[in-house]
Amino acid sequence: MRKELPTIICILMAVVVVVSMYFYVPNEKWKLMDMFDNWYNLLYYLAMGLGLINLTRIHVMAVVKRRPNWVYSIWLVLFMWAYFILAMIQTVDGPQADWVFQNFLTPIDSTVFALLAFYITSASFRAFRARTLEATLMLLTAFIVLLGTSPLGDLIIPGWTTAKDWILSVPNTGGQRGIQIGIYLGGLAAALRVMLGLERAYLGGAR
Amino acid sequence: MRALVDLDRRWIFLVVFILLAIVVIWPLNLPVRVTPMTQGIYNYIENLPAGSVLWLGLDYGPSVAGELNPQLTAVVEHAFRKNLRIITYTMWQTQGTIGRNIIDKLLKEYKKEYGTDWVDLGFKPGGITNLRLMTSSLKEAAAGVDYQGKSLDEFPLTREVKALDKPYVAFIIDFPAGTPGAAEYLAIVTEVKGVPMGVGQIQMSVADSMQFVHSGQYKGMIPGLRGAAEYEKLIGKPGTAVRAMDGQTLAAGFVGLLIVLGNVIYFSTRGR
Repeated sequence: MRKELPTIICILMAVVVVVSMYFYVPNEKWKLMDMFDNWYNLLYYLAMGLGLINLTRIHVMAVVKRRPNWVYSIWLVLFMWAYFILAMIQTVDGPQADWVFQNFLTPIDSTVFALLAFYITSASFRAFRARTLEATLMLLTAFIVLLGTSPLGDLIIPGWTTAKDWILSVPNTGGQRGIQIGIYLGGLAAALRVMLGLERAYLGGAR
Repeated sequence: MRALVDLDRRWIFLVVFILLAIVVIWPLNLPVRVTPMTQGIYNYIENLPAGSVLWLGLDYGPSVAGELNPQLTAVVEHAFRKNLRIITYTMWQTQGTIGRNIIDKLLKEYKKEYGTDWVDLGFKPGGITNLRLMTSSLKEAAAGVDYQGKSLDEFPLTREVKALDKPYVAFIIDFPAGTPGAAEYLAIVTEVKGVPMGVGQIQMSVADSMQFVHSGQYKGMIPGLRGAAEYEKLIGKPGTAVRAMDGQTLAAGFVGLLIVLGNVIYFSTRGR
């Protein structure tokens, strides 16, 4: 029953979710879906707790065994638990917890993302070459869209933004839709395999 | 030409830095043309009756706040002018107090009241599943409390709005930096419950969302920083985005110049 029971539970859950999403089921009469959603949320909370314990265990072991870059593990465990305890005492919106968020995470996150501007500029000079027909098409498209997202395009040639809008609306939309339909069909096939019990990799390897 | 081929990339970094610094000191105030996508969101909000509930999904973190904060500011400003009521909710724990601080400032400026004109549900774990639960019961999905842990029954707005559904919510705008975000709102709320929506997108994701604008599933889209500048122009209050567009314009121009220069060097030195 180690594999059969989880498979039966998975199939039952999948049927309820699919029925509720694809067919109109008045929620007032059928609260099953809400109950499942609550269960999922509960599992989410538990998984977060499990992640906290697991991460601590891995990094404490890294420090004890002096693995490469073990110093960073000390920082990780220290900050993770300090913030966790702080947030438990005063919630994540508490004054000190918010101060940490505003003055540590926010500037670090923004800075890392802002650095992209510098690297992309450098890469545009070194890597963007019209070596082949495909590369030339990509280069021209990028050039038009890039200048079209700022007022500069229209200042150089009036109507530049219209060209950019056409690229985004016609070739881009067509390509995106084709890719998306392919992805969703693949996802549907994979989901059907799980629902029918044909795909059991998520149950883990056999011992 | 050889010198350009071997150019140390730190010189390029320096030029980018100087260009961005110049516009902070001397703004260029370049003209911004409003695109139909941004106009779509503006028109939808403009035509909502006073008192309607606008649902704002703040699904982003600090990394893209530079693009999405000006969008949020302009939309909230427009909504308060139209006397709309706002509910905010985030599926991203890294959202923290980013959006809240913006709305809080505007709440005071427009002399609105928390609980009556705006309620912030804050971050609730569960992602897409919790979003679906929001469509059945706001109270259940939000564990009955707002971001401060205060009961939703304390606030007139959340006593009235029972779920993320019609007729309670008139319009949704999601500001996503990825998943979960606007695509989940579209699949779970707009397509199933019929609540109309729009999106405030980061420039990087504009191409992904275009298809939903064309199909009419999004009533409009605010595209990146440029979209924010367009919205500021529409509400007649040029602000952060209009100023930041100067920097983006110069940086884009420089990137364009480097692409051309890089290819000139490539073709002139190819045979050697």
